[in-house]
Amino acid sequence: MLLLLFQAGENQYALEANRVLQILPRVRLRPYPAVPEYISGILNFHGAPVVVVDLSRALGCAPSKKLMSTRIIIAEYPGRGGEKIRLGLMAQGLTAAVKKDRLEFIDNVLNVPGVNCLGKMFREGERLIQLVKIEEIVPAELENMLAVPDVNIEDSA
Amino acid sequence: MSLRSSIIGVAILASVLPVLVTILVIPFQRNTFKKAIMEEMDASAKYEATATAGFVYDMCKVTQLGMEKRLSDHLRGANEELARLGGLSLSSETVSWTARNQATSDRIETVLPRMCLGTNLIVQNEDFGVESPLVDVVTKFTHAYCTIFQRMNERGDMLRICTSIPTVDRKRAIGTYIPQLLPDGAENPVITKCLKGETYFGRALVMGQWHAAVYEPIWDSPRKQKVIGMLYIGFNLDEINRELRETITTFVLGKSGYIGVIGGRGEFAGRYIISRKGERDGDSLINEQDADGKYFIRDHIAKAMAAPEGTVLFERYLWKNKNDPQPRMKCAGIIYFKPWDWVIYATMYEDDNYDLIAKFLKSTFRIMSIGAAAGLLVMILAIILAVWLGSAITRPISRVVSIAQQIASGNLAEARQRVAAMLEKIGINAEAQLSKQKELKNETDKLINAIALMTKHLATLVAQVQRSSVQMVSTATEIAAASREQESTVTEFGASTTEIAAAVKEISATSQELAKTMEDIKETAGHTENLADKGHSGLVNMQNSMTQLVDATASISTKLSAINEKAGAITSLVTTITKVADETNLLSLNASIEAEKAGDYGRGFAVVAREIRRLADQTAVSTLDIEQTVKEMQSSVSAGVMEMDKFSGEVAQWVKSVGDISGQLNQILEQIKILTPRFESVNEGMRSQASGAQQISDAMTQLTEGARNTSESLKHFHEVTSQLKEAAHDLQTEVSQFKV
Repeated sequence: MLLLLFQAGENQYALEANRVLQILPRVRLRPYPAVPEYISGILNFHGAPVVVVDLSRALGCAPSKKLMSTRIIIAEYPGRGGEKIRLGLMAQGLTAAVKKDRLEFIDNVLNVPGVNCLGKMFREGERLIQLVKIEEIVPAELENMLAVPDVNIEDSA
Repeated sequence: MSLRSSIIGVAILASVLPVLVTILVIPFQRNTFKKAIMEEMDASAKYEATATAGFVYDMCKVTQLGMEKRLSDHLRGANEELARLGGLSLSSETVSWTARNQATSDRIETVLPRMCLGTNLIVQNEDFGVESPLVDVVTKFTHAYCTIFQRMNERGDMLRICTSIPTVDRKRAIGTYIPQLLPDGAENPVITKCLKGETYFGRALVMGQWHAAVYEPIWDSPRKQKVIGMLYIGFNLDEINRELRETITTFVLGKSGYIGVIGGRGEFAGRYIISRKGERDGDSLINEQDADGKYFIRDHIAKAMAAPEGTVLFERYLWKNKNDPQPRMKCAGIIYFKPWDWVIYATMYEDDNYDLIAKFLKSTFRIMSIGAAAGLLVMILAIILAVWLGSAITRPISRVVSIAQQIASGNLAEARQRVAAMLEKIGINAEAQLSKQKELKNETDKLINAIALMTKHLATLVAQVQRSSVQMVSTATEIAAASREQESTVTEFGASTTEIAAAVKEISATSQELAKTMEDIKETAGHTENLADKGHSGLVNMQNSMTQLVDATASISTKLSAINEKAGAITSLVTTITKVADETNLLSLNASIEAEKAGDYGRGFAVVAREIRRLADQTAVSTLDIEQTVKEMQSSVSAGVMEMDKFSGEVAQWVKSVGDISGQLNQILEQIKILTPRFESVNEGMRSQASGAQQISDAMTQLTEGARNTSESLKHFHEVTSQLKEAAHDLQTEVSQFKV
């Protein structure tokens, strides 16, 4: 499977590429008032508003730095209720993709209550990288609002 | 002038002046008096004229109101009779008329429907012997005239068809008509009012005479659709006003004033309606001129008609009667009575009352003359009294004068004896009562007493002067001795001043020497100034070199800045390359994702994507290296610029220091320059001190001279003292003349 690598604080994390629609450069976001800190704002993706979550913040680190390598991933995944969820993820240091086999993964050793999105780990050179489960980033009550009608993007565009 | 004649003169003047003033003032007072009375008379004339005019106006008004009341009563009666007879209406039968215009006497032929009274037709009846219906009944019971008019045409000309008004030849005045248009083109106010369906009350011209009249419209039917005629009831005004006219013609204002009534409008304007004693009734006054040539009647009529109703005007004008040699002032109260168009005049001569004034003035003048005569008598009596009293007052004073003359000649002893004699005469003991002046009432006695006191005191004074002059002689002798002593002291003072002069000369010599020393010091100061000047110019050269150094440093700085700018440009290029590498990386990532989604088909594509990504990463690393190098270069250039700036600052500091030293040297120079003239001034001071000492020396010499002069003055004083002694002797001799 193809994994996208990114940084949050000192650590490296990975996302499954099959949930990713497209990677966008760090565009300007429209701020949204009175939302949790990990939501950076809203962007316009092919005419539809998409909520963007800052992964660094979601993983308990300082906000993502405004660098060229900080990019926005448009992810799409089935929600807890089965509906189609579209979410923007701001990730720092997103410049590389690696291919890994399922056998190379190590089970997560520490399950912290309240932090559900961290998954299995794997080795890449000297570094230990942890998978982030896209479908667990946003809590259930917020997820409902991110649902999009089940229409093919190419068709609607 | 002697005292006696003065006193008598004053007394006479006091009695004569009031009498003279009274006699002079009488004519003046008389004029003031006359003026006041005349003003009063004029005011009363004005009152009389205006009050009379107002009274006549009121009488007219009362008569008018009574008449209107009577007319409205008669009209009511006539209407009742008309209703009893069955009312007026037009029949289908016609009748032809030869109608005569009452204003122009023009005749026209016309055919009108015959009018009915009840069921009876009204016939054309001119004869007073034959009874006419309605009108004769009204006249019989009211003594007023009555007429039935029939409307002749649409315009509203009204034809008399049945009347009790007689013509000149004692026939009923039927067949005459009132034209709706007056000769001057205006509408007839009576007809206009009746055509509107209203009743007219007022004055109307009937067969050439003024009537107080009432006209009521006659309607075609009870529905009142059209006015077919008029019913008239009225009195001849002249008959009604006979009593009023009599009262007016016999009224006399003042001596020869009267009341006149003049017409106000139309053909009666300016014509006498009622004249004095009825002599000029009908005469026109419109062209009358007063003595000044003004058409005063026209003027007065216009003013009276323009004034508010019931207002009496007061006018004055100069009028010359045919019998009078001079024009006289007339005054008039004028008021306009509108219902009859009467301008009422109450007029009189203003001088009618002036005879009374003359009589009054004559009697007042007589009273004043008697007063003046009484004044003269009193005056003569006053003169006699003044002569007698004046002599009595002045006699004792003459005696006192002769005593004063004796005192003046020095014979005090005899004067005192005579005063004593006079005192005895007025009953005062010469020795005992001299000072008790308060008890004396008569001023003459007080004078004598005062003279007595004076002679007594004078005698005492002279005796004392005689004693004092002896004492004065001895004092003068003493003064002479003292002045001689002072003379010797002055001689000693002369010797001392000579010694002081010698000392001062020595001081003068010393200060001259000091002045010379100062001259030397001044020269030395000049040398110092030259040296400082040279040092200053050296420093200026050094300052110039420093400035050049600063300029060179600045140019190096500029060049370094240029290098810095270029390095900046390289950095921006590197940034662009970096951006491209970044975008390539992003593209390759997206490509990898797409390839992954394509599964086995995308495998080859995934390899290409990975290769692209690697290339992009390499580019990024190379550009990072270039960036690093450029940044290092930039920082070292910046360090160079900073060093240069620092160096430039230090050089500027040196320049400033050199400038400061130069400034300080300059100050020293300035001060030396200031010092030299100061030496000069000290030197000057020394020189002037020397000359001052010389002056003191000269002054001392003068002082010695002064002492000599004083000595001489003292000698002179001594002589004067001798003269004083002599004078004292003379005084002694002089005073001894008085026999005390």
